[in-house]
Amino acid sequence: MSAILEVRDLEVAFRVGPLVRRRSLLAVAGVSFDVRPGETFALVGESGSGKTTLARAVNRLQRVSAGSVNFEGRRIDTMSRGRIRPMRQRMAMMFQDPVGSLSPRMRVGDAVTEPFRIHKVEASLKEETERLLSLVGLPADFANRYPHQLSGGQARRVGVARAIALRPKLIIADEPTAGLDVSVQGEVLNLLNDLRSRLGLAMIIITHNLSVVSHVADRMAVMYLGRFVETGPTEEIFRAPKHPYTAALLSANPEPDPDKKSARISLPAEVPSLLARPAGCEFHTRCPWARDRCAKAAPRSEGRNRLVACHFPLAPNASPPEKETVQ
Amino acid sequence: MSELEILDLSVSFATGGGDLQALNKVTFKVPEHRIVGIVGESGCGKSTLIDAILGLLADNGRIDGGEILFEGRDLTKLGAKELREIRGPRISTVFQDPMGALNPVFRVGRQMTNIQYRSGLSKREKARRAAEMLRRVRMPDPEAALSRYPHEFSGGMKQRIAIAMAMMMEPALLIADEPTTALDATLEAATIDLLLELQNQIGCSMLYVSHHMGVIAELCDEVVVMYAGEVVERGTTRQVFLKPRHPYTQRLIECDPARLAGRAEKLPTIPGDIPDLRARPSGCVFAARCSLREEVCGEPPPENVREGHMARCHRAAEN
Repeated sequence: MSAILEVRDLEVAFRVGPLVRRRSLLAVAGVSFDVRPGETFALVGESGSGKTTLARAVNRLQRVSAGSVNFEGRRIDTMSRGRIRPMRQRMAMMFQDPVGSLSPRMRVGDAVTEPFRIHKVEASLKEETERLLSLVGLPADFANRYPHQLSGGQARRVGVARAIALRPKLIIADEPTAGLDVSVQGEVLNLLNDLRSRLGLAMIIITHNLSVVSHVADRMAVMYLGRFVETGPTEEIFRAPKHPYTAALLSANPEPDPDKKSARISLPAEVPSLLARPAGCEFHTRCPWARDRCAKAAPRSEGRNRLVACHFPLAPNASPPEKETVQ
Repeated sequence: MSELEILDLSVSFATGGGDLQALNKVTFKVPEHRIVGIVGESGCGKSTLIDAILGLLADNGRIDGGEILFEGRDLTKLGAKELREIRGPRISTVFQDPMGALNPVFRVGRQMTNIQYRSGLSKREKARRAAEMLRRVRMPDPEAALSRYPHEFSGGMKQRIAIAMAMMMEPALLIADEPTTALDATLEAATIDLLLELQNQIGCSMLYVSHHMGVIAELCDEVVVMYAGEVVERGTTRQVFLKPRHPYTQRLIECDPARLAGRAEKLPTIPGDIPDLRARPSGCVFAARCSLREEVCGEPPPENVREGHMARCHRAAEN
């Protein structure tokens, strides 16, 4: 099936510093991926890796510096403001911070029907409110509540209701479970999974929580300094990560079992600045496996279904070489 | 011997809608040189407990009963001046937000020498100790770091500075309240290693509060599980994680997606909400959400202790 979203060599640059010494930093540095209808694609990475900027660029909330974004076969990164707006009915965004992304002065009922007013879509707002609240599993009388009367999980459900209001084809969810307790986190993920199969939604989920990814995403991409270091089917990557950074991330996720002392791959704590990207492979300054070549030449992303940007992709269950990493 | 012993501690807050009982007869010990973890979800009373130990309850908060014994003294009976002599040199803390622990308008070095005001050392000696402490938390170029401002450091490095400051007076007890929650996964792992190493070197005990079951399982010797302001289960880490006796603990461990290998069609959840603490249920606090609920659960459950493993549940004897 053809992709609903095609992103090619996308770059987002920010200009920083005082006027006289203005410099440019690449927050997203050439990223390509497809999202197929009904598929969930996860963007994983740590703070500052460019996940949120990439998502905002896809939705045109952020200006694209280079590359292209095609949504449902139409190029949207060069569209005029007036033309992009109707596209956003079909591509909804769920922002971080469930409570903070709702207006404190707007009742739940008004918040979930606001998309109809913004896009001037004719509908019975009362019926739509009921439909949306029941889809996300909230009682109908919640329509009269204000955000401060909601728990984190309930506020997140309202965010989901808003996102699906206009029956979009693609939802971009930025950290949908951040700040939620584990018992509630499961509810939100179950809801997203359920809506996806019932409404045939495609989803991009941005998160730093790997255990979330393994349960919702079909495919995933691991970001580091604005680039994809590894992409592929979620299950394969979890079973056998090939990029050292992916392996380190996966190993840093402790399980609730005291007998499984984790074979953690520890990385030096300091992440390089986007203004001073390391030469060669950009991960070599923190990579336990780095060799001479890594500091000299940048690796290319190799592979078709599974892409790995590493000179020396890892074998399954590789453990780091026995040497003290320089802190 | 225990470094810290909490006995039947109850705390309530006066609110517009009546008294809210945030802690109900909380009892546990932190033995010397051990790390005790406190787990629980939002609203379980973790933060209230820490505030009570430190004597930092909000103005509408009040200790209704119980004792907080530290080095032979009951902290609930001490005045503000005596508490100040304990907070910092004897009990120090690391919080979730490192920026909250640092003053943004002073250089790191000045803050690190200021907090040594009780030590009686010379200014130069204080600066040397500050640099030494930064070296121990693996700050690159510690001398240069002293003359920088907090905003010049990344989140992970700021948390290291906060840890260095907390450990500098070599406290007997370190209270760590979600110290890695705001950090990325790889930084979280490095910070936990660092805390373990320092705790070992200094030989202090640690009370580690987190909602992250995986971190607690890895780091702690003993675990206290809290729900709605009560201790529902208490034991060694292996006892609690491998053979949980309270239904809440069992559900909580099941819910952790890190435990499930492969993709789950439906993730486990705990339906329902915590009870309104202004009107505590007369029986078991977890009964309303418990799938094993019986009639007897309307009565207050007894503490069932076996081999030092406590569960507050009517059916604990079966587990």
